[in-house]
Amino acid sequence: MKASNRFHIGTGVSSLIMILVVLCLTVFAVLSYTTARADAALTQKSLDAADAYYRAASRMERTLAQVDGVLAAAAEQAGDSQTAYLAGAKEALLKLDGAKAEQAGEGLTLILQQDLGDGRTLRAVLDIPPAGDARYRIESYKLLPVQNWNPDSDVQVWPGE
Amino acid sequence: MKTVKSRVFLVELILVILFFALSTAAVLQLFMAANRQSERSELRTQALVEAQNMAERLRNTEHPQTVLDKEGWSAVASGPSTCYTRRYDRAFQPSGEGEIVLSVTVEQQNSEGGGTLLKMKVAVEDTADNGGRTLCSLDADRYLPGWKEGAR
Repeated sequence: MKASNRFHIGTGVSSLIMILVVLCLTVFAVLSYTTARADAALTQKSLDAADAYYRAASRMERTLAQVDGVLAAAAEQAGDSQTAYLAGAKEALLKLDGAKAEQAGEGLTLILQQDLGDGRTLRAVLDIPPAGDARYRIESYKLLPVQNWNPDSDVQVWPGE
Repeated sequence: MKTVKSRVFLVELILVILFFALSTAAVLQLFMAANRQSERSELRTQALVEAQNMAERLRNTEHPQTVLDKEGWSAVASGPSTCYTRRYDRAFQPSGEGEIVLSVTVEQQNSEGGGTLLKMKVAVEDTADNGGRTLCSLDADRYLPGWKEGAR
């Protein structure tokens, strides 16, 4: 009997190939969708972080307007007395939400904080001079983490010497 | 015998093609959803970049209205605030017929300290998405003290 050289596809081979192709397509589609969802979540996180920062910065600007108003009122009440001005200003500034005022040299140092709500806080340090052209000067304006960073000292590492 | 085998193969092939078509339709839907999601994320990221750029520019300018007027933004006054708008295409290039609208709302308030509080809001809207969808919105308030020489 002579062996046949003709190519022959048996029953079921096409089904197997189709199942393999559909499986591959499904895996790629699910991976694409998962990546797209992850990108969308990251975008939303960036938007939320930026929104939180700009909201806090805007609240800080409104607080600066309040501080300016308080200092103007204190200056008006105190007249020419620098001591009365600083005492009046300190008393009024401490009534502002989240403000900390303390004596620093001849003037006052005012610390203002605005919480961003995501573990960060916007902190401004103002220098309030007893006299001069400007009512206050912004010494620092920083975005800081709410919790202090505690380094892990369990692992012994080479100190570099 | 050969004819029966051929018929079985033909029936199988028809079923395979039918099932493959249905599966491909379902998988394509998933690919399209992923593509839409990805495009939307890209647009929102670009909107955030543009809004942040604009917010920083406005916060570092003493007269934002003058800057926006000089650059030819469309302005509409509504009560104490003025809304400036500019249209962009989907690649965020300025275009008069663009679907993306960048708007800046500016309101001036006098403070008790004699300064000016500029209440500003920067928003980016996609007008082609369901009749208008806000992609991003940022507050950009700024306080300008009104100190004069020699005064406290």
